[in-house]
Amino acid sequence: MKPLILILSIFLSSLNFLSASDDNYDITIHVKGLVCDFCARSVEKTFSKTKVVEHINVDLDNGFIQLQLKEGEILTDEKIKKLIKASGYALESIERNQ
Amino acid sequence: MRIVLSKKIFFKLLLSVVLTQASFSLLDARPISYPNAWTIMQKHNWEKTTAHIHYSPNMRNSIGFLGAYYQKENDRLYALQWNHLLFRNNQKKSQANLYSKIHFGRLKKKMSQRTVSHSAFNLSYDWETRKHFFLYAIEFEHTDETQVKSNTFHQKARIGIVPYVAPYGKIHTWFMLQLEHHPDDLDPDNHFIFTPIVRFFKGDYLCEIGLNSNNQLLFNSIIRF
Repeated sequence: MKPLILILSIFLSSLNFLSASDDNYDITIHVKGLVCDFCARSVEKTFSKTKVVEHINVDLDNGFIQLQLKEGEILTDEKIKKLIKASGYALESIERNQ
Repeated sequence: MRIVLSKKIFFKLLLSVVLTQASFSLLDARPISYPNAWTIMQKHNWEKTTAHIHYSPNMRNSIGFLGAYYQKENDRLYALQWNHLLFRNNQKKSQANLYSKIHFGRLKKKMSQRTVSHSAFNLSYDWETRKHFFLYAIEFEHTDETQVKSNTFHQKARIGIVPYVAPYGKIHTWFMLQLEHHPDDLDPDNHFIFTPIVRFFKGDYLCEIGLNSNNQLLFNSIIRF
């Protein structure tokens, strides 16, 4: 019984760790017009070209993108607004996670 | 005299059908890619098989080459096409677009063994959410023969729904119904054509397959890179 509880604890801990990885994103950008994979690819490609983004997550269901920046890099609100516009979409709001 | 007149009328009607079929170049998915990207579009339906490759320097324009082969007439079209986003309305849960498409090219006609100028102007409006899709498009065409000039138009509408909502990166499926109106076509069966379509869409890849009301196959595919 004890090994089973131990395995279960480790498994649940790993799930917690995985879900906590969402907090690693530095910026959450709420975008209007994200309705399909093509939209997602568009913003993904545009932000990837900035070379300051380490990882990007696009959530079509909730209409936002999350950015994890490279160590020591910054991305201003003005730059984000330009990139969203260049992608063909409309900026709704920007949240900084730090 | 009556025989000559009939031949003229027959020729004009035949020509109008050929031209109608030779220039219906509506593209049902977004005709402009993301900035600095290429798109290859293949299309096969009851009238023609086309290949369209274009480059998008920005989110409002794309320029490319359009080639088409018309099965029934054995005619071939080579054209340059410019697609332009006239208007986009982004909302939290939807997006609407108005596009214009213009192409200029040469149509090699098998029957007359001639190559003639051909151009088309297309306006298309689409509205899309994660679950619903609507498109309406109208196209005007102009073709020059040596002595005959021809202008035609056709239109189509498409609606679509999804059986499930897939997240980004997964396979998206659409069930669509397309209605085409070809008022100039000699064959009454082609005046109104209904086509149920299934569309699959994942990332940069899209394909769709359908069978129209005349039991003819539709198969389209798009790759962006």
